[in-house]
Amino acid sequence: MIRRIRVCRSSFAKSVSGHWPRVFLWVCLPFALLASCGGGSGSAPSMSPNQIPITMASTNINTPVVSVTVCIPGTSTCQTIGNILLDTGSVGLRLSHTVLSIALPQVMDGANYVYECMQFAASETYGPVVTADVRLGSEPLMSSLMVQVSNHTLTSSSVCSPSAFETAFNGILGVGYPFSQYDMEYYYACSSPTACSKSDELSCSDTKNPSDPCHVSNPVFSLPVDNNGVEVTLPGVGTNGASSVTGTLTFGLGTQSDNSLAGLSVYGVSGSSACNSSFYLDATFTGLAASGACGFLDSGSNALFFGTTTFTVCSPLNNGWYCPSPSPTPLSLTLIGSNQIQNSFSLQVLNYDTSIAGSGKFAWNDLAGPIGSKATFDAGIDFFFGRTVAVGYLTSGQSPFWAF
Amino acid sequence: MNHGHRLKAPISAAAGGMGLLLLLASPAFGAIGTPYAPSETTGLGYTSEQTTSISPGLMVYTMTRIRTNPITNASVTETLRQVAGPDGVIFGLSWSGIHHPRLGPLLGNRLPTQLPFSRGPRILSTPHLELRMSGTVLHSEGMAWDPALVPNGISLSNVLAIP
Repeated sequence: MIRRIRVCRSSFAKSVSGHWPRVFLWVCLPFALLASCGGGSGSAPSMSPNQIPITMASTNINTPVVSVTVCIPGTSTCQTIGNILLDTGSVGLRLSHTVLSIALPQVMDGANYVYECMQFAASETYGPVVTADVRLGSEPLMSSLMVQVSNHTLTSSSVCSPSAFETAFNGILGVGYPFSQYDMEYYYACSSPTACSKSDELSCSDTKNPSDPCHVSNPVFSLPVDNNGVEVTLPGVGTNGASSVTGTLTFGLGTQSDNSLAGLSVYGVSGSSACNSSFYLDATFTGLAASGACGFLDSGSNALFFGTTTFTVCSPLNNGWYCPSPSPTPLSLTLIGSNQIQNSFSLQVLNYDTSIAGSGKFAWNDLAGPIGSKATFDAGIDFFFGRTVAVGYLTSGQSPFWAF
Repeated sequence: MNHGHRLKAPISAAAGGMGLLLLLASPAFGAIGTPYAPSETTGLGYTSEQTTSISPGLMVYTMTRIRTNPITNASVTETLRQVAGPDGVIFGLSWSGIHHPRLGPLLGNRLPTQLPFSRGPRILSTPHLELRMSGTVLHSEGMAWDPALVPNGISLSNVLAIP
């Protein structure tokens, strides 16, 4: 069964002709400069109306979280939910059913209820699609956005194999990859959540159709002004990790005095090369016996993930992490945009068993683990510490890009 | 108001539905631990099938389905590879594409019901399932096998590699 989903065909066709974002010559806020100096930070930076704080969850390692307010549409019945994973690797707002205390109305398809199976890299979330008015910080309230309520107990094994994320965080705010407003995943219209079967799959043929029920979306696209991207700014954490970190999620790029791209290199993603067909960046990495050619930035990934035979995988109980010797072991990562902009970054990897496990610290820039059969570099949240990373959205006047 | 188009169920979906009823008691054919069955993978949308034999006495079933990259509109060929041992029983599979296949049915009831949420590649090791998967929103790749069913003396990474 082929899901025909079109997203912004006309705008993409236009954008590949090369509308790179203008780099505004505004001066970065002092905070951005301070953040790039590293050193770790527990102090809260002041927030502009288009910014919200990012903190690190204190229960799980390398988990950047934010707060989001949701309201029953058209009412003042609202709930602010914190501890929501900030994810530049997915699209859409998802909330755990365990923390939601207001009755958000479920989206209907005729007489049937709409459910979604969202596929992440290696996990799935399943549950009803609801509508909510959403507020991000002091930005204007956004009306009636579609949100997924994750509830893995609503097993529908023929269509989804969901996982529960609520033991680690309360929701996921997907503000990035692949620069699409809608998540383009599997939607079903069913009489009940456990009754969904493959034949109930909806064909989301036109994601621009406002009445389409397949519209769990990146809320940032719905902001009135600051809607063309985000900047994630986190302080450095040093080699030995940090107990707490406070950074900033800024909405919009070049729309306010605090979201200039000045000082950042802009890496295009056009979809034209082998890596880019999946909207990766081209990448090379040295210092280890790996031959990967693609990379991506993902604040939702809790480490650097890459394939190598020279790094030892940790003990069986921790076989998701590397335990190199010596610790730290350096490596160099080069990322290349489709516009041929490239830069190299010096990274390092600590031995998880001896240096990180049991440390009581929750922010690390040198935690790494193995990836699957091909050598792709997943630059997780480690990469974000000590820099500003911007995600530029695909819009009618802007090609998608990363900037850092 | 147009709420999207419900796809018509393919003819094979009826057979797939019956298979799901049987799933409660035993895995459907076409899953790890059972003989290969084209109806099962057809039910998952795979239309092209190629069967090859490789040493030592293994059968490789390669199935493909076409998906559309939602951003570029380019056609993407997704591949599912299942490998059976000399006894004809599938012991492992691998895939590559925009999305991963629905793993629940293909893994033959081996996927734990309480699968932890993974923020990165997944490495799952149980007595009857080894699972490796990774990717992003627009790409998924991975492999799975039952270590108890893998014939002696083969290289898993070789036989499960997708060319």
